Amino acid sequence: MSSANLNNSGLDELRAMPDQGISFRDDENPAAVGTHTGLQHIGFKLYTEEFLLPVNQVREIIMLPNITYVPHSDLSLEGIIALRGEIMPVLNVRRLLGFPKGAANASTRVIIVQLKLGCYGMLVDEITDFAWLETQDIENIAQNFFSAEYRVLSGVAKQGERVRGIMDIAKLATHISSHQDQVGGAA
Amino acid sequence: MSDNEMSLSPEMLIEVKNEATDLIERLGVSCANLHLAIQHDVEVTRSEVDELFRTLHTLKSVCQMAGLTPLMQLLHTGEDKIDLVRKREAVFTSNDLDALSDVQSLLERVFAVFPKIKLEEYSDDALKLEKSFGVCKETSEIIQPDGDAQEKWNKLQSRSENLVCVIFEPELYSDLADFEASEAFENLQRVGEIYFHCHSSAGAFVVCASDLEAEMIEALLGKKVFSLNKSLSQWVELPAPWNLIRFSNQDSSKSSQKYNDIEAQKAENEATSGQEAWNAAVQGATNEHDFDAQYAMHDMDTAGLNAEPENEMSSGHGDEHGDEHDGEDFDSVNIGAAAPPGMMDLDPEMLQDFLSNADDLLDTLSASMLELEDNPSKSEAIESIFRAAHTIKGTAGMFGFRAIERVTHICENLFDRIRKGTLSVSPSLMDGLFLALDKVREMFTNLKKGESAEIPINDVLSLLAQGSSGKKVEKKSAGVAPKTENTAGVAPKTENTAKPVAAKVVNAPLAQTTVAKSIEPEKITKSVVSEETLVKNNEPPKGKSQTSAAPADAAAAEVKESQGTLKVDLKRLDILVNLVGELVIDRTRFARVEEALRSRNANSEVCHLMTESVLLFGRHMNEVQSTIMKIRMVPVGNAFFKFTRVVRDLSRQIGKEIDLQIEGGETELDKTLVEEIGDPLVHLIRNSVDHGIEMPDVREAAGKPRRGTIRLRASQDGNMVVITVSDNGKGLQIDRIREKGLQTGLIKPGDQPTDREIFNLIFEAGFSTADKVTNISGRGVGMDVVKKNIVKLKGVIDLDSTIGVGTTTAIKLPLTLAIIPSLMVETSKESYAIPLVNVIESIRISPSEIQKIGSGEFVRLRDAVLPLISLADIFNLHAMEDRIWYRQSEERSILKNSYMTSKRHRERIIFVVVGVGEKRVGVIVNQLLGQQEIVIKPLGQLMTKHKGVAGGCVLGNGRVALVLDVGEIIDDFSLSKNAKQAHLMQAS
Repeated sequence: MSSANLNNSGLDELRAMPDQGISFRDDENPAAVGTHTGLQHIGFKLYTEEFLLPVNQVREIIMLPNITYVPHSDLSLEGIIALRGEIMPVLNVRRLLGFPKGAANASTRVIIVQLKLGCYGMLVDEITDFAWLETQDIENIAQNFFSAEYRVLSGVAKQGERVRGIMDIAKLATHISSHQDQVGGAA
Repeated sequence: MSDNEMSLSPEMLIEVKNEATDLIERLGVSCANLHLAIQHDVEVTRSEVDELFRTLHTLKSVCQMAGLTPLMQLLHTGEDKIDLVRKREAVFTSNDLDALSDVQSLLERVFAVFPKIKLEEYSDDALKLEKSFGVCKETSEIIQPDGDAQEKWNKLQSRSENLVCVIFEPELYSDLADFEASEAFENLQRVGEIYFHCHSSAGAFVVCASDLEAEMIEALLGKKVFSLNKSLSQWVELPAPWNLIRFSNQDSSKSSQKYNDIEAQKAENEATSGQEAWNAAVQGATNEHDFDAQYAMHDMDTAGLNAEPENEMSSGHGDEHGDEHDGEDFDSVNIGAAAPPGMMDLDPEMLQDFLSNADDLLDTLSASMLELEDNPSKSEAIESIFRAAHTIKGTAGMFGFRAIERVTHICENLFDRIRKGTLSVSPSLMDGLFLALDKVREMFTNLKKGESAEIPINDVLSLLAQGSSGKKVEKKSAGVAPKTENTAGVAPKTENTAKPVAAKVVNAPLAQTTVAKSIEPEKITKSVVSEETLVKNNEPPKGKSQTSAAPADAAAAEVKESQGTLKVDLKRLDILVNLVGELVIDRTRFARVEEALRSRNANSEVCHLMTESVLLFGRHMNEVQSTIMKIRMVPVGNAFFKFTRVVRDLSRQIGKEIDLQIEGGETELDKTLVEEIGDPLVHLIRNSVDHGIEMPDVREAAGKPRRGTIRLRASQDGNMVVITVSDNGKGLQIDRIREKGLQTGLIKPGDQPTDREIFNLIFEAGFSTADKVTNISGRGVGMDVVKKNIVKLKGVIDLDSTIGVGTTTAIKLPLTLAIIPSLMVETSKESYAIPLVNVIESIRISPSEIQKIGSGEFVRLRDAVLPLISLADIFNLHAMEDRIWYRQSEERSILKNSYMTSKRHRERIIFVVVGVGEKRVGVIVNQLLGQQEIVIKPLGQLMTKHKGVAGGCVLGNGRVALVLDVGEIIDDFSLSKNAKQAHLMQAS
């Protein structure tokens, strides 16, 4: 029995070996981050609208790098970038949500988020603030109240006057690999 | 068994897994060699069998260590079988080879997922296989001849009757009485004298002597009758499990020795025959033939290991037996003997491995023994000692170092008894053990100096016997009295001191003990606790404490001449390879900076310094890169050996006679490539067997030798490895392929394809000329898959054939996948990499040379017409402008040649001729950026596969460039053309 357990832990250890030196801050435990309670969120702007992203899903925020175009890919995909040797896709969420075409400026950033499957970047026009959200600040609104492209939200946050959508990075990620063939064929 | 509960540390598990994988590979090689021998009807050489035996034996130990009991038993059975072969009691048949190969596959399967393997996943297979060895597992069910039958047997030796045996199916008679009352039994009694009969779940069995011929009896009974001669050798040819029945043939002591180990095993289960077995075993043990002695020892080992704690009697028997050896003069036998078997074919690398492992093991042993002496009840110390001793013994036995094996074996037995509590730790016992340890250390030191490991060990043996004798009376074993001179209590040491040499060595470890204890007692404890991390690994403090604990080690380390080897986790190596890949990129970046610097300020001192450093950096980088790549290289032969089995099985299945010749197995190739190449090769070989080689009669009629030959050959050609599969069969029927090609539309009517082009049609998906689909091949999928796989590995495949002479398929692979040289090209300000493997040439033409046929563009290149396609069309880069919203404000390019591009572009069209196999396409690009070594990386798990893209690579400027998948681009040529048309329509 005990040997079986050890077997597993042995392999886990092997898996946990540093791969390319990625470190990922785990802020899930609120006690570890000072006096605030609840979950910290990053606020950002796409076109004129503001959104939130739980900070524990964010690996880092970088300046706009050179983006390489990937042919025959989904509309939401801007391209790919290399972050310290690792290649990852970058999403143009602004285009995904149907906003008018934007362009790079001094406040453009890429938020690198981490999923189990890997990392990807989200192009945002501006980082606005960091906000602490309690559970009661977040409301789940049924998906059918949103237009189709907005179904990448996991909920809506209300803080004082402001109402902001919270992005669901897993739902966003489905766009990276979807529709490609259609788009490629149609082009 | 207590070993099962032994909890192995994760490191140990990985170590076990590694070791098993090595051994399984070696088993595979053995199988291939044996197969070759059987194929050519050559007698299997002794060294081959020895090697196989050693491999099985070590594997068994490994399985035991891993707690894989069913596998251990399976290997044990296999080992028994091979043991019979090596003693020429049995012939190595192709059935055994099959079983062996199956065992190998099973092990491969189990250890591939080890340690996450569940018992039920393999135990059934193990059991099945065990039966296929022709040695039955339930040996206890077979009743061995008792004294009475034995007596009759002895009498028979002098008589002239025919000896026959008959086997009745189990369903015929329910039990022994039923059998005895049967008509058949009566009939047999009438025609002859029944010597021995028994009944078990495997059926009824009778041996009888009769004046009648075997055929007569057969007719009488209506049963298959086996005729036996009296030399016993035919017994092993009986079907399982009856080949296990043994008479100890006392008239000829020679035969009886041969069986002593089997007898000893039977003794575990068969109390009634204990006396005979014992006699036989003693006879074997005292026999002055080193070989028998050695394997009697081996057997004792297995007997000891198999012994369940509750089966005290049998284990006692085993131990007793082992101790019995103590009285024997081992040295005169051993040292007098010539070079031990297998000594000459020792692999120096393996030996080196073994020696460096042994050092660690010995350190563990001595540390744990000190611990044990301090605290005799400390069970973990005993466990660790036991394991270390067992490992040393196993490996020493494998290499044929008999003295080491011997000493450690006895130690192991003693430790086993201590562990089970049947022997208590006494000072004299510890003296003996320490002396033994020092002897072993001495032998290893000798080995490292390249001298023989066989030194006199009689003194140790006798000392050990005395040390252990104190408790011997406690053990009651089957009718065997312990050595009478032993008395309860502490054995006298006088005999040792009489021997000056022995006394000296005994004192040494004792002194060592006190020193070590006074200095760092807690550290020793620590080292005991962490002893499982023995091989390689980290903590320097542990090593330090052990050096102080064992000064003898320092001496040993000094003598050590070569560097030893280190097993490295493949993952770490991969990380290293990746890092080196990054460094290669950095070097490129440096070179660019240097170039820019030079173009601006060629004469400054800084610039010269920079140039120099970049050059030096480049040179070192190259060295690092090539060294790293060499680490990953493994002989391609590892993938080849399994094919002997494939060819043999298939050819037998369809009744062909085929030899597989393997050449150049030592050619080295990247490990991942070696793993990947197996599947495509299997397809090619199956094709050769099924379609290539003709039936023997057909061959003969065509004036060829009956046996067909398939040659599997690997060789290095520049930075590529070429693997060819060729057969001397009937060759491809070019007419039929052409016909089929016309039928399926692959050849357009009016096309005049070359022979090569026609042959290469068979790589098309769904292409098959076979009239009917056999279970070996014919669906037209195989070759398509082969080509896809090879292309995936950045290789090219080519096929040539001559009717009546044979077919040759050549696969060209890059040496490594990690770093590939590429041609960098640029289109629409995006960089792309084309693997150099696929690049034939690059050509500059004027736009007027392009010939338009419909929407297609072509160019006359020498005497061929080459289709052209623009990279921008392939990837629909026209859409890019709209798609990329976020572009960094105009790059500060340090590329000096970038401003010259647009002008040249206007007057000239540059295209790169790329090709896979025979297919060629010209890809129009804006400009060539030169050759560069790139590291292909996946685009991330989130990205799905993109057509025409093999992956990405990070350039010196931090940008990602896509790497073209030339094979797909050519295949999807038509699709890209459509895209272009769509674009044109949009534009107009």
